[in-house]
Formats: sequence, C-alpha cells, structure tokens
Amino acid sequence: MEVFTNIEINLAELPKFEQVSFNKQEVKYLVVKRITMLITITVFVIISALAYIFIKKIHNNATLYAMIGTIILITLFWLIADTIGFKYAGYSLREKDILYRSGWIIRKTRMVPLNRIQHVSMQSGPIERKYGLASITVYTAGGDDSDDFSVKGITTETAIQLKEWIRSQISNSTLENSITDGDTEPA
Amino acid sequence: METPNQHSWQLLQRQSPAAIFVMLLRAAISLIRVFWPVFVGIFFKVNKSDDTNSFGLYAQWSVIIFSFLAIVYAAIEYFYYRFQVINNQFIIKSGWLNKKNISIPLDNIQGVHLQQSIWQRLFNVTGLKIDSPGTNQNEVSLDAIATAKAVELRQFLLSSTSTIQNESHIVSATNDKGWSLSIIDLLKLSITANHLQAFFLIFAFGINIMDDLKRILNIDGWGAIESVSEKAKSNTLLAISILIGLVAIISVFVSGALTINKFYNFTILPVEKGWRIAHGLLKYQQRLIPYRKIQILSWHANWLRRKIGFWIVDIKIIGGNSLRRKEQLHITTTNIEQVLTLVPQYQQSPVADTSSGFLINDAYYKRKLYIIILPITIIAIAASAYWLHWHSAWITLFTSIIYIHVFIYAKTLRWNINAEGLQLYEGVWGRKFTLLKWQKVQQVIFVQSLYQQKNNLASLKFKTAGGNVSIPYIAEAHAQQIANEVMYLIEAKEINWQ
Repeated sequence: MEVFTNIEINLAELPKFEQVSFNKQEVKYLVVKRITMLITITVFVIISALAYIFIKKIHNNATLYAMIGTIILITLFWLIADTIGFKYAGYSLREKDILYRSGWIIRKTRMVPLNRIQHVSMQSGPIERKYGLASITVYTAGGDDSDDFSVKGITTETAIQLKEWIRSQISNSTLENSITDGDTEPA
Repeated sequence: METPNQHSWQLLQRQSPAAIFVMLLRAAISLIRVFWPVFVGIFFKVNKSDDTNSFGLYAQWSVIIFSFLAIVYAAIEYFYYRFQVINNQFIIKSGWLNKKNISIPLDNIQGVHLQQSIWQRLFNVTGLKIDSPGTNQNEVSLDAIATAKAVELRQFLLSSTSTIQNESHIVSATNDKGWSLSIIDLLKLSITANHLQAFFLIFAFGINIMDDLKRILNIDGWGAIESVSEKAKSNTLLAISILIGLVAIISVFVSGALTINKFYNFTILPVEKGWRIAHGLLKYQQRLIPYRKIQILSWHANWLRRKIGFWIVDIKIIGGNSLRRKEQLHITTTNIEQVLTLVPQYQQSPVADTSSGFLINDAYYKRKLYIIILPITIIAIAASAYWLHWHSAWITLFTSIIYIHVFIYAKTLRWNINAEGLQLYEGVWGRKFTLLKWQKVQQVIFVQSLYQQKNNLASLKFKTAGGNVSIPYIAEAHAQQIANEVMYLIEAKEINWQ
C-alpha cells in the first residue's frame, strides 16, 4: 500500500523557468539564415524587376524608388531581426519538460511538459544539411501548426539525440498514464 | 444467433438508396455555391428571345449531359459503397475503378454522431459519422441509412468499443432532465442575435456581387446607387432613415433565420459522463459530448441577451481526428442557473464574483492607442483628405469609439486563478466568462514585447487541445510565478489530460 503524504509545497522553491540556462543555436545557423534571406530577397527583386519592366502603369521613377526603398528596408529589418533573435534563441531540457525561446521584438518562451507531447519529428532543409544542421518539431494535441514549436539550428547529431530522448520520455509517460488511467479526475 | 433478416452487422450491406439523392444534392449545392453567376448567366442568355443563340443551346445540353453523368456516377458510387462490422472492425468498401478498403478497429472509435438534414428527413434516413484518430484517416461517414437502423448501429458501435464504453449509455442514466428551447425562446434568441455582424456580412456580399450582376444580368447596381444618392441629396434625413430601416430589416431577418436554423429543436440531456446535445432545422444533429473531452468552457451574452438572461455556452472540445482537430459546440441557456449547472462537470471551483479578481495593466489600452489607433487615424485622415476634405475629420469619431471600446475592455477584464484552473471575465457591451482547467493545458507560452520587456510586464498564453486562453499585460514576476506553478501542477499530477 502506498504511504499517503501531504507535504506542504513551498511555492518559492518551485523550479523557475526564468532561471534556466538555454542552449544556444549553432553559429552556423546564422549563416543558414543569411543564405535563406539572400535567396528570398533575390527572388523578390527579380519578381519586382519583372513587374516593373512589363507593367507599363508602374513604369515611373516614383515606383522604382519605392520598390528599391522597400527592398532595402525589408533587408535591413530582416538582418537586424535575425541577429538579435539569434542571440536570444535557445532550448533547454528539464526532467519533466522542454523549453524553447525565440523572437526579437516579441519574445516567446514556450514550455511543453513531456507528458503532453504527442510526437516529435526531425527535419533538415538543403541548406541546413550542407552545414550539418537540423531542427526538431514537438507536437502537442489539437493545435494549429503555428502552436507547435521547432527547436532550430542544432547539429544533426544533437537533433537525433534530442528526438530519441523525447520519444523515450513520451513512451514512459504513456505507460504511466495507462497504468493510472483507472483514476478519474474530479467530475 | 442472428438470422440474415435481422440487422446483422457482419453482413456486407449498402446504405439506403436515398444516399444517391443525398450525394447528388451535396455535389449540386457545392457547384451552385461556386458557379452560381455562371448558371444565372446561362439561364438568362438561354431565355433570350433570340433563337439563334447557339451558346444557350450548347449550355443547355452541357447541363443535361453533366446531370446525367452525375446521376450515373452517384449510382455507381452507391452500388459499390458497402459496410460491415466484423472481427472487431468497422469496414467500409468503396469504389469501382479505384477500390478502397477502410478498416477502423472498434477500439479506435472516439465518437459516433448522427446528422439529419431536411432532405434526409424527407426520406426518413440519417447520416452517421465516425470519429477515429489516426494521422491519415479522416472521419468516416455514411450518407444515408434508415433512421432506426442508424440509431441501432450507433448503439452497437458505442457498446462495442472500450474507448468510449463509459459513454455508451444512450439512455439517460442521471436524474437530471436537461432542457430544451421552446418556440418563444427561439424567437427571443433570434431577435437578440448579433445583427450588426449580419449587416456587415450582407454588405460585403452585396459589394462582391455588384460586378457579377452587371456582367450577367445587365443590372447596374452602382449606377442605381448613384442615382438614388443624387435624389437623396435633397432630403438627406429621409434617405438615411430609409437606408437604416432597410438595412435593419434585412440584417434582422438574415441573422434571425440563421439563429433559428442553428438552434431549432435544441435539447440537452445529461447522460453518464457526458451530455447528449441535439439541434438544427435544415441539418439536424445529435452529438454525445463526454465531459473529459471538454478543453475550455465559456459562456457569453451580448448586451441584449444579458437583459433577458440568455447565455450561450461555448464548449471547446478535442476532435477525434488524430488529436489535431478542434471543435466548438454551443449550448443555449435561458438563465444563468442553467449555465451554473453545467459548470461543475468541468470545474469544481465556484465561479468567482465578477467584481473580484486581478486587473490587467493600464499599458494594455495605452499601447493600443499609441501603436494602433492613433497611427491608423492619422493615416486614414491623410489618405481621405483629398476626397473628403474637412469631412475626413469624422474618422476621429470612429476611432474614438474604438478607443473607448478598448479602454472599457481593459478595465472590465478580470482574472482569477486557483489550484484547479483559471477564470477569466471580460466584455464591453456583452459579457464573457471563460474557465480553463490547468490539467487541460498542453503548452504554456510566456510572451514579452519590447515595451513589456522594458516595463516588467508580460502576457501569458495557455494552449489546450481545444484552443487558447490568454492573460495580457500582467506584471512580469506574477506571470513567471503563474507559469512555474502551472507547469508544476501539470507535471506533478499523474492525471491523464484526455
């Protein structure tokens, strides 16, 4: 028979996510982001140039300057966002959950308990593969794609280890839930 | 032992022949929704007195041939669509050229729902939908089986699956009688609906079809409006009054009709560990909602419904498809006591008084003003000054109303937390209560904008399998404490969140 305990919980002693140390993304990931930005901007410039050439209505200096100005502004903003965002981004594993923080203007720290993870996947784009990087995505129940978070900018080996570790934790958690499933919640 | 004459679900069997009609109708409605201007154009072109209109002739024959092919296709689909329950699996075999075989283990079935549109009622048939998880499988449905057979099949499936065996008691196992809506209640509900929303939808739809009307029917809607406004200049007050009256009548009619269609024949009946909810006029639906599936519970009323005590309870549940789909259901109540009888099924804590609880920081409405409302006002005035001259200043009236709305919202919003969950109270003209149990939380998101970082503020977002609940603009330290406590509560208890 299990011994009944009812220990008082000191809220001040609860684990604090704000004191967690986060593992940074790989420096090579910044290079990947720069390359992605360059490709996207190039495509955008080509489309704008074609539009400027073939659509007579917008063939004037004002439109040209507006297009160039917009591209420069977007590029600058993107560069700054990537650089500052890279400094802040990181992930952390704790015994019972995984944390990921990201963002520049709007910073988010996402916390997902391991017992809520449905499954985890690993992905790697062509540029990431060239630099030996990958990302893992953690899925929880019922969410939109925007709510699932991806730990990006980690080495492929780290991604594999993370994925396998999370999967093993999910399996243990599922087993514990099935054993205690006979317990009912209040109401 | 069952004889072949009885409903032996082991035998491979077809739906009712009415399924052909249901399939055709569904396809026709989808086509009409998309191509109605084309059909109207063809109709009017064909009916022109000019008999040499060969286009009209081709169009007529195209419609006839297409209809014939559609009937043949639907008949073939019906003939090759069969189902059975065998070896603890629900099996559907379909397709003529492209054969498909779907097998759903009975234990995987999350829910079995009945739906009956007005057309299905004509033929005394019912549609049956089966929810099952699985990354590649959508819900399985039968379009039309005899109503009595559908009820029997549902009962059989529910009693066969261990997943929802606790919810297999179709007959009420409680002493609660539940409630239903009378015709008077329905009328009150339709009159107090959100007509403003309907007005904007109708307005947008009207603008959208103006060009179609001109192209197909040679009706110049814009020209008519211009000529009316010319005449109206001499009597502005009358014109505005007539316009407002017309808009009000149309909006009330449309939103009232939509409300009646949705809540007609509404009944809620508590069964063991869940509610059985039925409603709908054109499409009658019966759903069995297990309490454990409820992720977020909220109830709301606009300012008019608050006066007469009508509240709509919104239940956000997790769908059955691969645990990735959210659903929302609505329960109509005619007084707050009915709402409060539903609450204990989700959360044991009593609902806090609306005057108690924490407020959000004033920075919420101030930031909205400086970052959104003021810049938009300035841009709108500058952009419209060329055409409207000094009249563009009227835009400030509109944006002032928005600001007042945001201000009242920020001052009204209150939140309470305890060991069980979060209670949120909000609203400007209407009111909304939201309950969230910590055990339903899937993810906690701590959010800080640049301004919030500098001013020690933060927002919290709790993600569940049925949607999200947020607390905006609270003290950073308080937000951190709540996040840490919620994570502890979720991780310390071994309770299955489903």
